[in-house]
Amino acid sequence: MRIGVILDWVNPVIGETFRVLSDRGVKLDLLRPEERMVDLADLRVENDLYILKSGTELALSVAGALHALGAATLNPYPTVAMMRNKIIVTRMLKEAGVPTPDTYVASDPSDFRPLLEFGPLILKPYRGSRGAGIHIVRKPQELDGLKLDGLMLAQRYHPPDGPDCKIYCIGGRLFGIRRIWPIEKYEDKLGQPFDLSAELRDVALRCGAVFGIDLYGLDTVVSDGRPYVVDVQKFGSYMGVPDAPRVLADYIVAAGTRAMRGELQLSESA
Amino acid sequence: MRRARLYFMLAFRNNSRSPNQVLVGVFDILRGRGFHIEIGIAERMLLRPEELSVNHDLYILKSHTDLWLSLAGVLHLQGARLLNPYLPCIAAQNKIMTARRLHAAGVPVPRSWVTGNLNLLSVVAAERPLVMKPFDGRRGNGVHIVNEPRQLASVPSPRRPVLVQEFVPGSGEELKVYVIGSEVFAARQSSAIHGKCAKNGKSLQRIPCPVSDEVRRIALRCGEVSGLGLYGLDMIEGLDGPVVVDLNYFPSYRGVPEAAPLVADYIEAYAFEDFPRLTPVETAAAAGQ
Repeated sequence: MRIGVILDWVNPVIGETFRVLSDRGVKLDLLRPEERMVDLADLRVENDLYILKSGTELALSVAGALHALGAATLNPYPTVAMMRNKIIVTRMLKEAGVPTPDTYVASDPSDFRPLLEFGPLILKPYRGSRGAGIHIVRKPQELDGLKLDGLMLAQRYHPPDGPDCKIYCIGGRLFGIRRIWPIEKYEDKLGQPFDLSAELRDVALRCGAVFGIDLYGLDTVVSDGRPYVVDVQKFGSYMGVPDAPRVLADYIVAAGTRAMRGELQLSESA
Repeated sequence: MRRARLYFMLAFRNNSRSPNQVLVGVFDILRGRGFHIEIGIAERMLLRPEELSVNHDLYILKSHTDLWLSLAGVLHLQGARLLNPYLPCIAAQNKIMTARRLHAAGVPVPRSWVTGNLNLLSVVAAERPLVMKPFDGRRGNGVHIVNEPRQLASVPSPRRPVLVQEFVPGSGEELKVYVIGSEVFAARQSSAIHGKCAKNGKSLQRIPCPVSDEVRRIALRCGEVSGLGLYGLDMIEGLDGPVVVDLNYFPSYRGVPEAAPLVADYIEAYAFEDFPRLTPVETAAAAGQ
């Protein structure tokens, strides 16, 4: 089995997952599109499955081109492309009955001014990943200093009761990790595993179902005892998940096997 | 009977306060045929994505703004019908995906590269002049020409991916090709890349010209490959024949004679495709009520 991985950097869980996969005889082809020059004519489907780990725009474009050439991608490229857009994600989560903070969209941050009368907001770029460009805004004058950078999403800020709750899904198995913010040392990044309540379990499974995927990560905040989903990732870090490399490797080998049989759902029809 | 409801997703450019003449003509014709038409202009506004839902039989995505493309995605996922279809539109917005896909389908495109590190380009820049375009750019925004490797140093380090293409020498003119279903039209325009830029934001003059068999074949092939029915292409007539340098969904059709009735026909046919509950007779009857 040949598996291509489009990535920008490797966290320890992913590094260990690669080792487990190699031990099982999987041939890994690591693609770092930022660090090389790709002649587009040479970009061909050379692996049974491509894992889209990186979240950069270039990585997404390369995955999109491979998808157009018939490659199987994990998660499927059209789904990943849509999950990149937080406007789409917010609407889909609402559709699925997932609790999310009230959300507003504008291309000029000053349009959010009236909303601040009712409490603080979290502003995010409408396309973004790994927390880049996120601001908590409490006072109207804080909006003035913000750079105009395309469409912005503003979500009602719900002060968390405790540490953030990350939820990871691998093939329908759910893992909860409590993680403090901001992270100060490596142990903080690992966080503390916790047992998911039936409510969080239900929320997490709904998120996957609405996008038709079972490999993802979620950021949830519990505020006043109520959970809110504030972000969904196409492929989590899986840091702190017990035995994550082995569970991930099992999942990837199973997906690769389905891809080789032509059973993996490759694309949504246009 | 209910009238078929069409929603046009528009954005105005250059502070213009009205849609272009082709669109005005399309609206008039479709209204005359009994369609209910609503026009959405995504200007400055505060929006609640949670509240969006599908209320129209067909959404026509004319605008290329991030906001409309996002809302189109929301509508698509809720089962709305879009023209052009949503996934082909987002794919067409990405020049990297488009270049690879067209090349694979045998459409002539310039040699193309991508990288996150411009220094890696010096080898190819030494061999040929290059054109660098933002991967999601529109109307020539952010395009750089690199005639020799030392010019790479003066290209600002891009925050977003760029598509790097071999510069195709031509006559100094670009062929603007417009497609409406299976109808192909062409006009010549002096190429902005050759240094004759539009002045004062005014559009460059386009002179209609005949469509050669080769241009027609390439243009229709691009539609098959991309899944678009209303689209435009920029071609350069190089030494070895026409080469496609850009693809856009729902172009302006500026200067295309009879564009309005043809676009209206295409939209009407598309609206009724797979929609047995809405027939022209019913909508015409409804229009008379």
